[in-house]
Amino acid sequence: MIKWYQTQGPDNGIVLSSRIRLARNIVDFPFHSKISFEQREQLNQKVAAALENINLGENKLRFYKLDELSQLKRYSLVEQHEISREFAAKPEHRMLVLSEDHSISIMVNEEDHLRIQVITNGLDLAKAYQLCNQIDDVLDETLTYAFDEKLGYLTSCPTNLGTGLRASVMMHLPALEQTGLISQLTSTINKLGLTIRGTYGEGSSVIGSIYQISNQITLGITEQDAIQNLESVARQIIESEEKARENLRNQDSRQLEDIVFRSLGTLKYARLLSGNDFFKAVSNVRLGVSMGIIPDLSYTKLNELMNLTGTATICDRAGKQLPPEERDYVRSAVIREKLEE
Amino acid sequence: MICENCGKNEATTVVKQTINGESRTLHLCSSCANSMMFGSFFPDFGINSLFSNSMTQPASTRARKVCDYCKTSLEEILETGKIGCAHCYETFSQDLARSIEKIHGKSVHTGKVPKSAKGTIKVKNLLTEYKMELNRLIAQEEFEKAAELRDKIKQLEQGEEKHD
Repeated sequence: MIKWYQTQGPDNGIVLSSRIRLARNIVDFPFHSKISFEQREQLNQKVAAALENINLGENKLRFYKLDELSQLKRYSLVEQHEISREFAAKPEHRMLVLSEDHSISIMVNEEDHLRIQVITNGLDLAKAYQLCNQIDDVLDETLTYAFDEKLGYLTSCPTNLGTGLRASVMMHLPALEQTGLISQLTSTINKLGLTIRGTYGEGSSVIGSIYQISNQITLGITEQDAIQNLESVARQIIESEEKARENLRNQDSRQLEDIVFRSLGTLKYARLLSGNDFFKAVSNVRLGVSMGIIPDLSYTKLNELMNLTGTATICDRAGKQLPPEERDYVRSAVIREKLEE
Repeated sequence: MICENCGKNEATTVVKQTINGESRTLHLCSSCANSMMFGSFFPDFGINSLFSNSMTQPASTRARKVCDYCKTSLEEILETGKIGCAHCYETFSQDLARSIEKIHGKSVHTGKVPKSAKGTIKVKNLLTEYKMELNRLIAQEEFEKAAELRDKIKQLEQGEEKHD
C-alpha cells in the first residue's frame, strides 16, 4: 500500500503535511510517571482489544511491541514523524499501532496512555481530525477515558488539558526565512495562542526551512475552533510566503534560477551527500518546483526523498549502523535511484 | 560551565534565543533560568515561587499533601510538571487551578465529551430539573406526587454514585 506522503495534498507547494494528535488517558490507571510495568502491559492489551474490530477499509492497523522493533527502525519512524523521540528512546512495555499507509499512529504508554495521531498530505486538518475522531470514538466504546466536566480530558501534563488536541502544520518557508520575516511571524503567532517550532517539534532546530506551526491552548476552546484558527493562520502564512517568493523572483530571477538548478544538480550528481546538504538542496528544489522553475518534478517525489533519506532510515534499510561517509554515499545513491525512476 | 547571568552557579540550562533574526545561546543556572522565565511551562512552578507565593510556611512544617490514589505529592508535581493520576487533579485542584488558568487563559472545557461522561451530565441535568419540579409540587401541596418524585430522585442519585 502506498504511504500517505506518496499522494498529492492541498497547498502542497508550501504545506508538507497536517497532523492531529489527541492525548487520552484511561480511568483507574495511574498516569505515565506512576504506572507500573505490569499496568502498562494491561493497558497495551486493553487498547489492542478495543481496536480489534475497527473498520478502516483497506488501511489495516498493525500492532507492534515497541521493544521488538530495532533501534534503527524506531528512529526511522521518528524521522518520518510517526512517533516521538522520547517514545522511541525507551521502548519497554510500550505499544505502537501503525496503519499500513503510515497515516495513523497510536502510541500506547507515551507521556499519556494514548496518543492518537493522524497525518495527511498538504493542508487538510479537517480530514486528519475526522479520522482521528473516528478512532477516538471507537476506543471510547470500550475504554473509559479520564475526564472531568470542568477540565475536560485529563492529561499527564496540564498543558494538554481540555480537548487534548494538538493540531500542527508543517510548512516550507524559505522565502520568509531569507527575508528575515520569520522572526516577526513568530511573535505574531505566539500572540494568537499558536507556536512555531523547528522541523522535529519542541526544542528542535529548523532543517531545510521547514517549520511546524501548532496550537498551544487546549482548554476552553473547541476542537473545531482550534483547528479553524490554525488553518486560517496557515492560509495567511501561505499568502505571505507566496508574496515573499515573488519578491525574490523580481529582485533577481537569474540568481534564483541558479540556486534552484545548482541544488537540483547536487541531488542528481553528488556522490557524498550529508543530511544537512541534502535538506538544503531539497528545500531549494522544492522552491523551484512550486515556482514553476523546475517543471517536471512532483512534490510526491520530493516527499519520498525526504522520507527515505534520514540517517536512521538509511541504516535501517542497510540493516546495520553505517559510518557517516558510507551513509552519505548510500543517501546520494538512494536519491539518484528515486530521481531516475 | 558557569552561569552567564549570575556568574556564580554551575550552568545547567542552555537557552537559544532569537530576537529580530539574531540568535544567541545562553548558558544559565536553574535559578536564573527560572527567574528569566526559561525555567518551565509553569510560570508558577519554579522553586522560588514555591516558597514566595501561596505557601508561606517552610516546607518542613507544612503538612505533606499526597494523592490517596497514586501517592504523588504536590512537591513532586511542581518539580516534574507531571500529574500522577486523574485523582491528583481533584486532590490538588486548588493548588493547580491558577497554573492551569495561566497556561490556557481559560478554566472550563468546551469541546468533545466522552461517552462515559455524557451519561452523568445527562443525569445531573435531569436531577436539577426534578428538584425544581419537586419544590413546585411541595409548594402546591401535591404531596403524593412529590413523594413519587422524591423516590425517583433518590434512585437517580444512587445510580450516579455508582457511576462515579
